[in-house]
Amino acid sequence: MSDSSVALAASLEEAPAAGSVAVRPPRRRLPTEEAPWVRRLLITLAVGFLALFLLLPLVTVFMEAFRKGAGAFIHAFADPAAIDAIILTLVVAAIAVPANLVFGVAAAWAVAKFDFRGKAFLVTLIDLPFSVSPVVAGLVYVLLYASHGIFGGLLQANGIQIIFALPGIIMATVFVTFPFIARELIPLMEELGNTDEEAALTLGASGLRMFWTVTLPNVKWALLYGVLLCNARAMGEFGAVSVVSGHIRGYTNTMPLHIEILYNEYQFVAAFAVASLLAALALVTLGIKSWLEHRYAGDLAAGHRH
Amino acid sequence: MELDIRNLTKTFGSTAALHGVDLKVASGELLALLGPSGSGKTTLLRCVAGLEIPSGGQILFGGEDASLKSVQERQIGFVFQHYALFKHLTIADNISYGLRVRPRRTRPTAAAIRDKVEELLALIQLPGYGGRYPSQLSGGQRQRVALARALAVEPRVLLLDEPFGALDAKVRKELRLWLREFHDRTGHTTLFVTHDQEEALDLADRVVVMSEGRIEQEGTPEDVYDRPATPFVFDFIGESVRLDIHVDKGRPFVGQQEVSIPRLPPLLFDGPAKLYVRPEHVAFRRDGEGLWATVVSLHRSGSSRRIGFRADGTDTVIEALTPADREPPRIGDRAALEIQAAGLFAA
Repeated sequence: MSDSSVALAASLEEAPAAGSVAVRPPRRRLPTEEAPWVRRLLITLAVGFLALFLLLPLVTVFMEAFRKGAGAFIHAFADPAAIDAIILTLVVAAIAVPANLVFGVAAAWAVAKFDFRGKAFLVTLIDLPFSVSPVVAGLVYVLLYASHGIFGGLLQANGIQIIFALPGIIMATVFVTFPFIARELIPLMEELGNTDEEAALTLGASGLRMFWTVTLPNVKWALLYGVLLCNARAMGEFGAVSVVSGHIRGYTNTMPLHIEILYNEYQFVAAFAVASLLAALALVTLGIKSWLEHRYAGDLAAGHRH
Repeated sequence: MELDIRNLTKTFGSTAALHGVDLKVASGELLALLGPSGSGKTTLLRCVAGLEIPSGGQILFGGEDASLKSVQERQIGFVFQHYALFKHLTIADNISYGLRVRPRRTRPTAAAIRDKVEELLALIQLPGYGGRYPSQLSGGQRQRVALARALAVEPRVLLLDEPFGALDAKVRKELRLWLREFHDRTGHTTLFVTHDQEEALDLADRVVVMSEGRIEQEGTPEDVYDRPATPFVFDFIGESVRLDIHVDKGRPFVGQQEVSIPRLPPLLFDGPAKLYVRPEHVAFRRDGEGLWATVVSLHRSGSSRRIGFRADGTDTVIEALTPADREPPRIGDRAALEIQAAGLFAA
């Protein structure tokens, strides 16, 4: 676009020199091109909106975290409760993400490769965590697994604690993050179809061998992308975890819950210090994601980047 | 390896894709399954491969029942329309895939695999391409790689599903000739599916014409082109016009005129019938005996000219094909048509 307008301008400058009529034709706009003021307005709106609602809060998090200097920032992590919260968050993510990796691949495989009764229902169900409030999910788990819940008696009799303990937090996280991997894989696997897999089978590969050598390499970038998004959400989940955790300091507090407690206790620097760590994790995820997208797009378009 | 398909049926839900197909393929034969889409030809091929489970019937490989064998056990080579090369693997790794996935006991050594790949690359005239990726090859080259990959496992039967379907017309023709020569040299029992009659007639030793899950006719390309056995084959292969005629006391009439058709078997019925005539089997004269008709259209196409006639007492236009350099009649001229060959079926 800019190249062609430069060329146009150059030819217009030459025209009077050649001695022809010096009337400049009006600059003509493509039918799909907006008027300059419309363009400026739209760009201003978009950038302003992003700055106000996304960039400013992000900057504020880091500013607040360092308001009283690096010493206070570091001091926030000297609190054993903060360390426990970080460890718990990592443990939850380390269990929930692989679980969803397995469930997500299985669900995507089932939806993309087979026709069965209730397939549309399954696809809708996969999206459920996107549409339902995480608090509702947490409450349902409490209703089912708390000591007064439907399975509570059975669990208690066997000495299993789910609500207000690690299993409940993991289950709530798995629920909320389920769609990320499945949603990433389903469209790609549907587009790829079965032919590569059939080719592998006709060449004598076993089902498992086919999966490792053909199916997985075909979807690896989408899978990695889904895992990253799933991980980011697993670490940041608040609502569902808040309901099932019970906020037991040093025991069932994840990072987001710990931040809330600190904030409610007016320990703003400490709250923002932990928050900045979460935000930094999100930024790293975003960075890897953009890099992957760049690489993955090339993979799809040219197919020969390795 | 000869192939024997016995009374094979396949239904998808409530729709039948194959209604009891019987077919024998001789060892080393190159056989085309020809039909429009939905005729069951691909389903038949996939049943032979073991990629589809038949609803009934048997498939014998060299006299041995393979119906219950898995796709891996059947040792077939399958070539897909869109090549299905593994795009994350090099050409060499694609070709050797079938050897590398074998259990350790039967897997050739790395050196033997390398030699086999080189040998196959030479065979498909792509030596030195082993290190490239599929996306760096043209469509025709990819299809040759797909063929090499299928052959690497030394299949008992080679199955090709619309192997030229994704290629442009010129490459298609070249690759077709190449495949014919390739088959003559290697001699694999080969079944290929196509909806392109030219491809089937050009390439195959024997053509099996399918329609709606049934075999309409099987025979040499000459058989199916020159002696179509059913109205469907007449319609589907080559060009023909259909005339509604009438049989009276074993003699065919177009309107009020009796037509003589050489080499027609005795007609054992009376009543309405359908006559299929190819343009190249219609000759015309300005006088003499024949089916009298009026010239209604003239159309030059390349080296030949098509002349449309309407026979007296009918509405159907019968086309004749003549060389373009022959003096054409004028529209409205009268001529006597001689039908040199035709198919006649009860309506």
